[in-house]
Amino acid sequence: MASAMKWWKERWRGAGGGREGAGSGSNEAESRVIHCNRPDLNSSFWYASNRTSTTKYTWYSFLPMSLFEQYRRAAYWYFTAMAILSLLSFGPYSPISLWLPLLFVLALGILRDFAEDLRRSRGDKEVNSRPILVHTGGGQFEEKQWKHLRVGDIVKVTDGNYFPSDLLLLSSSTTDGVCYVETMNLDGETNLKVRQALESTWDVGGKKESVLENFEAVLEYEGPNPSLYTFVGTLRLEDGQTFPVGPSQLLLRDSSLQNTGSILGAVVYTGHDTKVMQNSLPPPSKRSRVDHTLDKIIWAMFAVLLLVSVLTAVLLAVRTKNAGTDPWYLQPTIRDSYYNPNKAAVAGIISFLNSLILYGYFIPIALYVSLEIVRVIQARFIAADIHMYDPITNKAAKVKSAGLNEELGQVDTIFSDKTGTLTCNQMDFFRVSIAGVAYGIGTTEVERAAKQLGLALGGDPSPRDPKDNLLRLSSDRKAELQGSINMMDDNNNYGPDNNPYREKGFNFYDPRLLGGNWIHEPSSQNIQFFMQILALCHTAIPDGIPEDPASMRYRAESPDEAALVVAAKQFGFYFYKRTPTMLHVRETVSPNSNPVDQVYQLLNVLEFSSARKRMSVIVRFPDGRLLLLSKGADSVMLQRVDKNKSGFVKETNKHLKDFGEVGLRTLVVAYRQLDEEEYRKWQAKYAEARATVGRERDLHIEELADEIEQGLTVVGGTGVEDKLQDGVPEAIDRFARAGIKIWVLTGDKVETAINIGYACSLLRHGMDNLLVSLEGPEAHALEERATRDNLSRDEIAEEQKAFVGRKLSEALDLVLTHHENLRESMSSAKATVGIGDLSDQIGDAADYPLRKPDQHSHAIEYALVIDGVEGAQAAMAADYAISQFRFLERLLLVHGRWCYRRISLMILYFFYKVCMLGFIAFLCNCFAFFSGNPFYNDWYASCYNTVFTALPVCVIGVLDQDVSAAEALRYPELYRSGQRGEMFNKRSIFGWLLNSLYSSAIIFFFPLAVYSGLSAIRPGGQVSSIQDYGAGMFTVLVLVPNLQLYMAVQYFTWIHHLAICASIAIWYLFIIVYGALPPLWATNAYKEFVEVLAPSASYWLLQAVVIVITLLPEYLFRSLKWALYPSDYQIVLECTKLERKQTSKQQHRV
Amino acid sequence: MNGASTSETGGPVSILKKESRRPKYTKFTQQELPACKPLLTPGWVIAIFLTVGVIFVPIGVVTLLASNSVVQIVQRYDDTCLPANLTTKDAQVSYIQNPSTVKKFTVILNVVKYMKSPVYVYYELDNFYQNHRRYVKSRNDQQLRGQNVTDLSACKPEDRVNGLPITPCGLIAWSLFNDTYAFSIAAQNITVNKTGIAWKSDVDKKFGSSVFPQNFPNNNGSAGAGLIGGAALQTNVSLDMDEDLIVWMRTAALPTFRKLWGRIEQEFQPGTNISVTVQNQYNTYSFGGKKKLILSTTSWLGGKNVFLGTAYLAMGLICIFLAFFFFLIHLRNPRPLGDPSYLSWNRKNNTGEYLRT
Repeated sequence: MASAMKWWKERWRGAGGGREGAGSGSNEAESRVIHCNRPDLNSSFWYASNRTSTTKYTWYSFLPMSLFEQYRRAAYWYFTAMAILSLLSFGPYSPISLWLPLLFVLALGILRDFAEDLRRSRGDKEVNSRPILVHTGGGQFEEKQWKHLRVGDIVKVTDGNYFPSDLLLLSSSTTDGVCYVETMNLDGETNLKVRQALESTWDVGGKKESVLENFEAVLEYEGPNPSLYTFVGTLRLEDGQTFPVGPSQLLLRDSSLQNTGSILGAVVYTGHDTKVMQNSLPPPSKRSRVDHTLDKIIWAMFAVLLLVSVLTAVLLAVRTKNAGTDPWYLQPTIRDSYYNPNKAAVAGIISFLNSLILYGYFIPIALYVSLEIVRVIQARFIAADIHMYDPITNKAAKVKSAGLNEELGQVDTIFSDKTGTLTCNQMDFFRVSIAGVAYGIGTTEVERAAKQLGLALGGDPSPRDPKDNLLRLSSDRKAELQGSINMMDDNNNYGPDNNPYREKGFNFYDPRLLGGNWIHEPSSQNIQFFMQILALCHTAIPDGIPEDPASMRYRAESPDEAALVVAAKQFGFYFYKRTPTMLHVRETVSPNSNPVDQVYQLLNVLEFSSARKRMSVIVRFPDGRLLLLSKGADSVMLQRVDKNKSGFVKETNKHLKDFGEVGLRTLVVAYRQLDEEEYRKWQAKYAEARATVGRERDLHIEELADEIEQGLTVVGGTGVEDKLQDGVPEAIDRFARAGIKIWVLTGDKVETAINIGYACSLLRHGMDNLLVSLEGPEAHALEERATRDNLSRDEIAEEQKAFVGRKLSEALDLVLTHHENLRESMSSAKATVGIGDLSDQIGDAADYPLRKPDQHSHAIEYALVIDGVEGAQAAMAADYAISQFRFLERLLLVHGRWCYRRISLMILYFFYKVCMLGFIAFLCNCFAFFSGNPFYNDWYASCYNTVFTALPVCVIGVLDQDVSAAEALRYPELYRSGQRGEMFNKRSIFGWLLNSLYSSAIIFFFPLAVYSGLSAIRPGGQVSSIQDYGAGMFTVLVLVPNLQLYMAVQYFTWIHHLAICASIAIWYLFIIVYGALPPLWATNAYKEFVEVLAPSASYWLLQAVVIVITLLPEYLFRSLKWALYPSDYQIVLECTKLERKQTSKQQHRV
Repeated sequence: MNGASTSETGGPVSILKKESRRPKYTKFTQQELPACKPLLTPGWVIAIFLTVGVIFVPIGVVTLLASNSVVQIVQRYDDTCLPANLTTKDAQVSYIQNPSTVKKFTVILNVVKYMKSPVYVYYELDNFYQNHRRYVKSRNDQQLRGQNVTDLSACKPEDRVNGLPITPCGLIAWSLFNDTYAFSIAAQNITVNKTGIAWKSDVDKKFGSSVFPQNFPNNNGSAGAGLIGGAALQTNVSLDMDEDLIVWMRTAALPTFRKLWGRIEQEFQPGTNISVTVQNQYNTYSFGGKKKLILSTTSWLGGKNVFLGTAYLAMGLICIFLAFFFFLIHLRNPRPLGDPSYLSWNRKNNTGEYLRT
């Protein structure tokens, strides 16, 4: 059905005003040839216009498509079939009483679609009508709307604006065709990326207007595709020269121009052909576990329906056959064969069809639409939660898949990224080791946590370096020492906690280095060199006024890098300007001397990649030295150290290990003096490699980088702290208490990871640590085999993954044999540590490396994104987005828990009430010869689900809370009931159905005893007839489920009372108003209430006793349970009450 | 869904205008509405059970008394009002269907208790499915109200005789009960008031004053084309005046039912013997239905029905019992209010739960 949908959609779209002309999407591989700046030539192509549409429907396709969408719910087909059946002559109800509810729910669904689409279309309109400057010939630009852009147009984009479509960069306002773009909306990265135009087009749009006017070029390039990082094409200029163009000339829609005055670009992909739109796929529809159970119940109900229908049919046939013509008053053999004893089989078959309609209440028609509406409102509540609003990013929580709300209450495993998720991704320069001396006396979060837990960090208690003591000593000693250091300082108010030098990216304090004091250190030469390396070895772009160091911000690929440049600035090596070939640094060597502007010639940048784990620059110093400056992870750097001239390897290594243990991210800083001749040779090869086109290019470059990054000399190392977000340890602690297992993915060193684990209370005292490592003989054997068999990198990775998996399960087995009870809990929870049935993925959902093993492929995996500074695009793909990790506890423990309870209650209650009517219809039939005659008016029945009992259950679905938000957070253990599925399981379903069966029996038989037609129902002597019984019975049938809610929940606001009372009032109003209509409409309900029921005392007495009897078992059960086996939430409620009582008592005393 | 798009990111828009997206604080949106959270503490449970019990028991007693104050005489007559030699079903049926025989019988009703005026006369039928779908649908309400109707298909097979429309049509009217009763005490005839036995709304709105029986099959006797069902109708009496028909056509919910036949506005002293002359004409023998004649007084509540009173009394007593029961439970198992040690994770024997330090 889904593929058919898609086909239809495309058809409709294709016809929609040529928005997506021929060739769009269908021929992805087909390459394009366009003529830049020649709209007349390009108009012959039917490329998509730049109008984008995210709406599901167009105005003409809306009704049929939306209707079709509604009918994706299988139950609606059933309801429609029943409505059609009711048109046949033997239907038990009047057709309109079946059609009206069906049309009502369909209309509601369509209306909802309409509102959503309207919202989308408004957004589209806004985007499509944004202004853009388009070249209209003669060097003139005209402002047009985005949607009017065509492929081949030349557009001008100014600083800070978004690119209206995918553009080929022709020139920028800078002389060398460079521009900077921010791609936050695409990949969530905040750093600026450099794009550079081909040199041959640099002067287009420059001073000479004629160049632009006469500019013409033919661009041949690949067809639209979703790959964000590739682009292949050739640009043929008028003079016949051809140049290859690639991703570095491509500006993508949804990214913006930064730090560049303006650019000129040729439109290459428009509208839905753009990379970002090609990339955006409809999110896979995910359904919650509750939903799956719901499906099963629906099928079970259908089975029940079939069963009673067959039963009815058989009984009717048998009884009709046996009775023969004895009930002469029926004249059963004459005319139709519905009840003809001579054709009992036919009678049976007709009765079967008839029964399907009669008992159709077993399948609740209003449930789906009610659930949808309720979930949308729940989502609104989540988004409106003031406690999940982050003022810094100005973002509240977002819900994209309201259908999973209740799943949030059943999460048992969280997969989380560390950086940016648990931490702020806000790196602060914290410690440094230069020339074998460690500096920096602040206390990291990890140290603080360790102190609280009384843990000793690291294994070696006696450091050899006395200055290192600062890191090692017990905190008391340290405070003392710090005190003495502070005393030495002129301004003894300053310290690590009151740091005058503190700024974003810099939280380092050590009076030995700061304020120019480093000059007095014994190894000041080394310190200076170290700082120069920090100021030079990076790819950051300065953003600010060069004269004002305080305002300077660095746009760097990662916050670590920026922190290092900031540190260099703080130590007097102020990097303020970057050109493609030059690095400008203002150096203050001693506090008394004036700053000197130094210009370093930047020769090569060997970029950072996660595989290389290092970056280098080759720089010629002003004094002519040719140096390779390098920084990187110790694991890769130490391998490359020159054995004879290793520098301070040993000390640095030790310090970095210490830094790692206190939770810092460490980098080794090293250099190599290059030989001119060697460099020249290398440079030639390198230039050649860079010029190659194709796949091997990167490989070549990497090999060459590897070649020159050898024989390094270590100068020192840095330690950068990535602070945990606010409330992370508390949140993780609550999750642990809530029984949620947490997996955190980090690239840290083992010691760092463990210590950070302690800091964020992920690890605690008394836990066993199991290390599975790729070190060791087995792993090495694996590696050897890999080299022997010449496996590709992917294959190796696969092998390693398998190895880790094996080790992990061995380790788990080990744990399990030691902790028998743990095994028990694991198997009972059906969600073992490794293979959680249900995982809550936090992190950049767009490309998350940790996937669960495949054996549980049916498990729901849903993405939740911490939508902070980064990841707007990731947030779009996510089901839920929050801005801070700590909001997750509120989302899960409060909202998730509530939603699970609400949706569960709602579904259970729905089945309870529909089954009641179904059973009653069957009981009626039992007393009516199985002839299919309900005792009540059609309209009572069709309003039962949609009017008389619809509102309160929705109120429960939206508002119910067993415990308040504060209590849910105070007792996170309450969450476990959701993981155990306590609200919605076989037992609860069975219990509710049993209650339904019991209630329907009481509701059927008690009024029957009063309205039996065997005794007068009032002093006037009249006995009751079928319609009197019907109305009397239906009164209690409306009362009981409504009042049942008072038994089912524990939380009543005025809205609850209003909804319940209004529903009951509506019933009375209905029966009065309906009964007041002329008999033509009212039929047998005419004046039923005012004449027959209301004046008779028995009518009112009946209601009270039926209500008490039907509600008694539930009340009894709940009271008993409360007294003997109280649920956790009940005790929590009691605790709160007790506390409130005590505080009020105290206040009273005061 | 074409998924992610510029319009939904809000990215560009948010940069252009920087307004706070802080959700508004209201008690409603923050889900902090003042709410009543009743706790089922033992005190409340006992109090509620006691209250219900204390209210229900007296209601039950009063209701039972009302029911007991009703005096009724029930007399089955379908078996006695037959010639003694008819024992088989076939004989009984052919006897009852024979229009030529006179089927007058006398039944003596013995008044044991004082019966105050008015005394209501009912007949009771048994095993008669007035609620059968085929039966219930076989009528035409428009026709009964006096509207011009051409489509009488609902009334089939009693819709037309020789192509002429039947008024009132349908199986219900056709099968109208036709036994009659004449009451006398010591040869003194007692008048039975046959007006006001139907609901007023039925008489006023559902049966037209200008509608007279036409082509009614029962009127034609065996000579006519139609089958004889139940009672004949007087062609000069409009339908709204024929309360027996109106009562009959308000079909019963169950196969055993009583219908009000008339009202005797006279009291009966204990020991009185009421002699009833029964015209036993209605065929219940085919389907084995009993026929009964009932004389009954009413109370403020209606006729004799111990059900409500019993239900109230029983419920009341059960509730009082449950109140004691809970009191005992509380005595034996006193659980202090809000004791955290009862929380599942604080209980000793919880295994496999997360180990806290």
